[in-house]
Amino acid sequence: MHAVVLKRILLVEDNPNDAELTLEALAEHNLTNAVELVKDGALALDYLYRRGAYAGRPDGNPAVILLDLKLPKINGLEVLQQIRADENLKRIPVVVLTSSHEEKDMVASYNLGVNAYVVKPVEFHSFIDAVKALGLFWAIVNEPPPGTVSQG
Amino acid sequence: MTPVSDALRVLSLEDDLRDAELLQVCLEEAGFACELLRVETEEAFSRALDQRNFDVILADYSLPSYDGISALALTREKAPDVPFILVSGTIGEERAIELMKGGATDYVLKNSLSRLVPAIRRALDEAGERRRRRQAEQALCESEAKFRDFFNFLPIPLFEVDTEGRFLLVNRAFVDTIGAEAGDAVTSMSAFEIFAPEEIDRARENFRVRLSGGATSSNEFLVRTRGGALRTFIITTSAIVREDRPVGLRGIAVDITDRKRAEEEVFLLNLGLEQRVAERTLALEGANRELESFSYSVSHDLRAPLRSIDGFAQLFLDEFGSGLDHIAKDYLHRIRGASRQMNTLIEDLLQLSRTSRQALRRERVDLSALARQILGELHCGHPERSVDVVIQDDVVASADPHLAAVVLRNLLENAWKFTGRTDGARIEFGAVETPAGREFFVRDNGAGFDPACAGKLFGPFQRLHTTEQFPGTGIGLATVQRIVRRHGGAIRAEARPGEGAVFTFTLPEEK
Repeated sequence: MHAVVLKRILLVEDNPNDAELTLEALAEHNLTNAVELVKDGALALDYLYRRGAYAGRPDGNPAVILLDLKLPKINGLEVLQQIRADENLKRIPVVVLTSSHEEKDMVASYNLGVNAYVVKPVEFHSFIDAVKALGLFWAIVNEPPPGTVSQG
Repeated sequence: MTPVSDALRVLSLEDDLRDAELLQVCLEEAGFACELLRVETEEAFSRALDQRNFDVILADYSLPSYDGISALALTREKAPDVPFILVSGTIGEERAIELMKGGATDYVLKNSLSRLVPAIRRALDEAGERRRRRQAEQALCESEAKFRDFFNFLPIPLFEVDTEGRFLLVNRAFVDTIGAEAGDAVTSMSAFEIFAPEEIDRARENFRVRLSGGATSSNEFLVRTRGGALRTFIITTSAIVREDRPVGLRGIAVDITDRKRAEEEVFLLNLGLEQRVAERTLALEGANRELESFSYSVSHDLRAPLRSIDGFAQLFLDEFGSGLDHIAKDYLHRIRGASRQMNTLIEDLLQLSRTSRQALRRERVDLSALARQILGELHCGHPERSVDVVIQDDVVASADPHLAAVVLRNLLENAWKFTGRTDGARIEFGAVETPAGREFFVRDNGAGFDPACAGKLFGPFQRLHTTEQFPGTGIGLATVQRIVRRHGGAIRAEARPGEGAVFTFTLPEEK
């Protein structure tokens, strides 16, 4: 695994505990360094458009966006909608990572072309397993679309 | 009544026996069968009039103790219709005139008795005619009285007006309800005075049309009633026609104020009801929206802290576990256990609330297949358990497939759970036809429950076993009952401790 070139993961998560647990899970595949954490929807869009605090970040899209739905300022579904409407961003794989089983959210996400919809398990090991699997698949196994920049 | 066929009943006031006999002979010769009673005193004459009916009275003018003038007066008083013929010796012309004025029918001189029979015949004819006329008059009188009574007894105002609209006749109800100002006779009023001022023109026009048209019609009018209050009447009139000419109107006025008010009240009530329903619906929709956003928040926000509790407890164990004694580790495990239990609770509560909010989409659902699938999954999760599963084939119902699955999953998971400590565990699913319709059942031979508590079973958070015995949140059966009821069905549970339980429910076809 160490030989593999890491691709960037954008984690959009406002809950610091969830963020830490997610990072903990990703650490098992040594993916922690690849993660860029933003704490609300507005910052996620700033990152993607390279503006505001992220104006100076290197060019290129993340290999995957792990997107919470309930977010301050701009919620996850709106972020997803903007990504899918933008010519340069629309091919980025987006995985919704949410606490909710709400069918409404699930349907809305798939209608907006989400690549995967994952309900965060409450039980720690299940959670770790789920996030590990996501990290493994999207950051390592999956071949991202052109325009994705690797890290390292 | 016909004197020729029946015996002619004659009362003879005559002191001379031979004269009386002569009268009888005279009558019999003329062909009258004759019953003649002769009296010669006032007392006997009066008694005879009281006791019997006579066809004719033949009275002498002068008697030793009585006289014809007095007898005539008494006859007119006691038997006014009986012809009274004076039969006498010579009387003067003045006397005769006096007698005729006093009501005598005729007089016959004893020396010209040949006049007697024609006089009687004429008197009888006249009497018959008088009697018939009087009977007709009486019948008319009775008829008039009868209709006058009806007219006055009717509690509805009735009236007649002439072509100028003046009242000719009104009944008692009219006087009592519409009436006139105190002191005025109704009949001195114009009919148009009874209307509310704004109604008078319309009433006049209506009156004119009615007089010229003739047909009956009903119209609603505002009328000033006796107390001064305005009330609504339906006035129905028709023209009175004499020799092809209208001479007035006859009508009936029905007070419909109360009826109208009741109708208005019903209308307003209905309006109010509709408004209240609309308001309630709005409030309910608001409450539903609130509930929806509430459960949305619950679904997101209540679970996130649990994940932190469970996650960090585990991380704590992972990273510092080696330095902890078994008590500290036990506490951390309990923290994790409690957070998982709470998660299950939240899941079940959300399920319960979704059950009520989601729209019902009925279709044919193969419950047998569903039961087989659920029990298959349970078996996969607990491969070590050996459960005898009996599922009746082809049990179908008209139900929401998602909700039907929730029902079967809850009932079968319960059966699975409560047979966990039973040797030779057995779970059955099937349907039976009953007079009340098809009943579905899930039966097990597990722990059962105390039948005295069966009523509590379906209340949320009601548990009949401790969590140590059998884990659970106590929400599953509440959810099941709610789903069954939303389908118009019912559910009941029967059991005995240690002898298993059977849950029976119905899912009636939609009407």
